[in-house]
Amino acid sequence: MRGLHRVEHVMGTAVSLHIAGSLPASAVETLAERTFGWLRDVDQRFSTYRHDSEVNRLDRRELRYPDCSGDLRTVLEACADLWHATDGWFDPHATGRFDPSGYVKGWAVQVASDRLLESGAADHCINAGGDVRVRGVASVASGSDVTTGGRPSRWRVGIRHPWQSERVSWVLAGADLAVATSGSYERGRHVVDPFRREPATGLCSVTVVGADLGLADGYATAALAMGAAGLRWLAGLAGHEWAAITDDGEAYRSAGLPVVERVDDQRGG
Amino acid sequence: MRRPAAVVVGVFLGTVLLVGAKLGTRPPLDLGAAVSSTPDEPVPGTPGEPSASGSPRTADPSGSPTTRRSPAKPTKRSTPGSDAPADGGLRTGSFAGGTVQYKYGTLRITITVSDGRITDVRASHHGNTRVSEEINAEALPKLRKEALAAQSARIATVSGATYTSQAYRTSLPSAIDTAGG
Repeated sequence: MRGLHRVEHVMGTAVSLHIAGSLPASAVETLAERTFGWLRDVDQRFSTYRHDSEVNRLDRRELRYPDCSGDLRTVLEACADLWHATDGWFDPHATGRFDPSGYVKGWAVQVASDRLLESGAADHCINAGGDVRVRGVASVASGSDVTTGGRPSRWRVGIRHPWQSERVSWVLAGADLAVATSGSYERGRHVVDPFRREPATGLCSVTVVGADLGLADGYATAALAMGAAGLRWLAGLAGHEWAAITDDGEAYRSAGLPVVERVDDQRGG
Repeated sequence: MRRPAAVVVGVFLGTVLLVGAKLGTRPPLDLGAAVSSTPDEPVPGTPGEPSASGSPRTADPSGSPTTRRSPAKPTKRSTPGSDAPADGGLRTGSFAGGTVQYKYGTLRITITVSDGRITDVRASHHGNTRVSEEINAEALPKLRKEALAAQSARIATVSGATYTSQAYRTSLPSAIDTAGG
């Protein structure tokens, strides 16, 4: 198969990288190594699980703001912007310490995708623990896709069904999508309502689709924290599409969500 | 830095509490009782009725519209004693604002004053839980309600919530590390 598919464990989760297109194999290998190298570097510096990470040193006040790296300052500013944009519902201090993890993973993948694009790998898909960035088209050979007559097909991104791990509730397609999902069905109610300091309830899955994966991730986390009120907030969110599932199993989505109508292998429902 | 949300909300809504505390007209109150208490009862004969431009709307869960005029008036609760301001500053104790309705539910701010300084600001939040109320509250033309589907279509990848914790690191089957070869 042309292109490359590699899965690596980094940033506390499984990261899958597809590079499609017709780049030489050696070039693709180099780009993949560079991509995972960047993600490992982010993990070293931003993980809250690593004692000597830059984030932990900042949290312990061993590191002062002027001495933070440019990347960390970028993250701090983005977290502050998200906090404002979500009326405080995206709160990197919600757990009682500084923890920007809700933004960092999406941001790191977004940067990786931007760099791939700049390096000539215009067709790629990165999935970091369920947060997805796709660009260009999927590999022609990857699926012997009869529905497109062998022509390059758009990337198809499923949104996982909350209680049936092998099924998806929606299928999205596009050539330039950032798709972030926050949910309570996999790790339990781990998203904290920053105002009550209790686990958020009301929504069990929120997916936000936009152009920037860090932002999309932050918005999805914030909406999940809001609970039922998050639906109305999402409905007013400019520049993004979204889908959400309530604890009761009701499904809502924005009218402009780039869904693929159910044409393939549809069962169940 | 430690609690930006509470602090800013406190600045926004807690100003009236500072007025109450500054005037020194009320004894401190028990924090626990304040947070869980019912909305304010009017307390006669007190100055400093907050006028507050941009004053939040009155919370009215019980549906009696006329009795509560000022939602953000400090609540009077027990515990009399050494509450005189030391130097004309803030009175020691905890002061709870009235409940206010905002778009995510109901909020009440409580400040704690010690030695003339605010030592804590807390926001207690009671979210709206009924989805139908949220959705029917106003026309939302961009929103669609659908039956929850469970498809197994051909896809390149899946977006979903996954483990991102340290536990995942140790429990992840090794197979996935080699899946991409």
